[in-house]
Amino acid sequence: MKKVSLLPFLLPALFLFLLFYAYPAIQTFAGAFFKWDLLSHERQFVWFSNFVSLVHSDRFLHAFKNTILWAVCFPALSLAFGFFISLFFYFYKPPFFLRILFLLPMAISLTAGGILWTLVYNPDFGFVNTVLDALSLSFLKKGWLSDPGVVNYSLIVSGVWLWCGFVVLILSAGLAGISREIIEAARLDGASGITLVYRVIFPLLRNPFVVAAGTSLMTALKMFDLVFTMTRGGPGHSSEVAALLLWRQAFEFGQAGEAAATAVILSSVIFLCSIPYLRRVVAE
Amino acid sequence: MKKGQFARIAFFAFALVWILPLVLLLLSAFRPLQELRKGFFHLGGVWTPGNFQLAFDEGVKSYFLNSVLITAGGVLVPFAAGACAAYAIAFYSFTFRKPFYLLLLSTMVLPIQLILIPLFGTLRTLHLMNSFWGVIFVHGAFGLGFSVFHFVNFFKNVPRELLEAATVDGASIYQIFLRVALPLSLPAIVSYLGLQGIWVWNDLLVSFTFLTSPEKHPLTVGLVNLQSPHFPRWEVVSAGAFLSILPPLFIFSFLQRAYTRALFEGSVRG
Repeated sequence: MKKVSLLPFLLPALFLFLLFYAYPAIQTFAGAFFKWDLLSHERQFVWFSNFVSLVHSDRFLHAFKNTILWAVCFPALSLAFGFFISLFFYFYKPPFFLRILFLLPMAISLTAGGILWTLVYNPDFGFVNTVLDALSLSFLKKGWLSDPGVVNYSLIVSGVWLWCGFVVLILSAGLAGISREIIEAARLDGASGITLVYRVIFPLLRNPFVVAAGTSLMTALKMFDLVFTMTRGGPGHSSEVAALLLWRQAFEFGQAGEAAATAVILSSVIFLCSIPYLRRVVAE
Repeated sequence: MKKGQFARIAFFAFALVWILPLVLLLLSAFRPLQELRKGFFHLGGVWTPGNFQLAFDEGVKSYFLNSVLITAGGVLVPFAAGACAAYAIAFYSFTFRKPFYLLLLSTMVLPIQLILIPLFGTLRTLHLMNSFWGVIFVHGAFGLGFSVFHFVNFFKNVPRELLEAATVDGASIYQIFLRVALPLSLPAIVSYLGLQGIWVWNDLLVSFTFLTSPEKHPLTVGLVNLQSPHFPRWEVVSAGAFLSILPPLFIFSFLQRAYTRALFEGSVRG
């Protein structure tokens, strides 16, 4: 084709990318090594002292521990439920309305979903405690969002509910690619139930599983909206996660340098975790 | 087949439990607060749209309109910029084509927290703080990777002969883009608008950080404002939450297929 200037096609994207993405990202990396005040925009180079003070801060360590809890439980539960649901879809072909029930929550914002689940957990009229009362299991009643020992798990469960549809979609698409003949052949060879799932279906679904696990893990590591809506990180700081602490450091405590350091750590973790997933996606 | 029947019934029960949170939202959005307070199993009381009136009085109407404006901008800006760039990347070769593409894609993997803090300064310098444009540009930049990826993937399947034929007929590169490439990618455009639309509509973090005055807040931020932890007005918040989930649910039910495909492109962002 004739040589023409492509610049008009590239400029808008380049402009957006450089001004609103690349430049801020570089500033964050640099800012992690400065004592930095967002309002006065004063900066003072302090080497690694932001990272050092983070490592010595109980609040940071606690938030990071919560993020790790999310990173372990959230993908595990999402994959377990998602796999179960998509297996059922595959073998029993439920009617459309039943399928859509499981997919709808993923279109709901984490904010609206958070409000929904605050209602579910409400100690007075919420669903969980009312049902426990009705089953005469009142001794199991808890302040699901006010008990520091339970709050993280309550949040994770609501997150899984909102997210699971994604996993179901990914795994269902993967299952749809497995030919029925393979399943039939395995059945004829005497594989049934658990063996069939574990020995035949599971290995065939490796790629979709990596994609589902990767996206779930990244979602868990970045979690902000849900925690902010439901508990604001409380009670105390007991449900605070890294993404929320980072926001507070920058916009509430005026410690943009430490926030930048947290952002760099969090982004590095996310990037490292996404490598196996990225390789899979790029390979396709 | 008895076993299968049992599994079906068990799954049906599971589905009912799964959907209960949404039922609870309906119960609290459409009934007076005192009825809700009587407990989950108390289904009595009048079902009225009164809570929506209350919610409108609390500003939900303007939150809703702001959401519409922000979403429209936050979808169109990355669409325009991304589709143009994807056209150049997919059909033409130029210096630094590959690195440029990879750089744009990086916005899909890295978390938005990486750019949030300095953007505060950038937007202030550009006088875009507390303005819809500021939020729209941030969504534009952060959504760029997905947009470019989505359209490059689609353009890859457009037969090159069509473009060459158009060139032979004397069409300029701009005409080919507007008259050939774009109309052909209508399905990709529709699915992009839907996916990015749901994303922007559901965003809390960007608007919450960069829109400081309440009259500019979109629904997500508005809901957080309404749901003050000290004195929660559940009926108002629920009505607002109910309104806020309708548009994405509506779009989603149309775009279920596109969703699956986009997921396989690996284009889920967060």
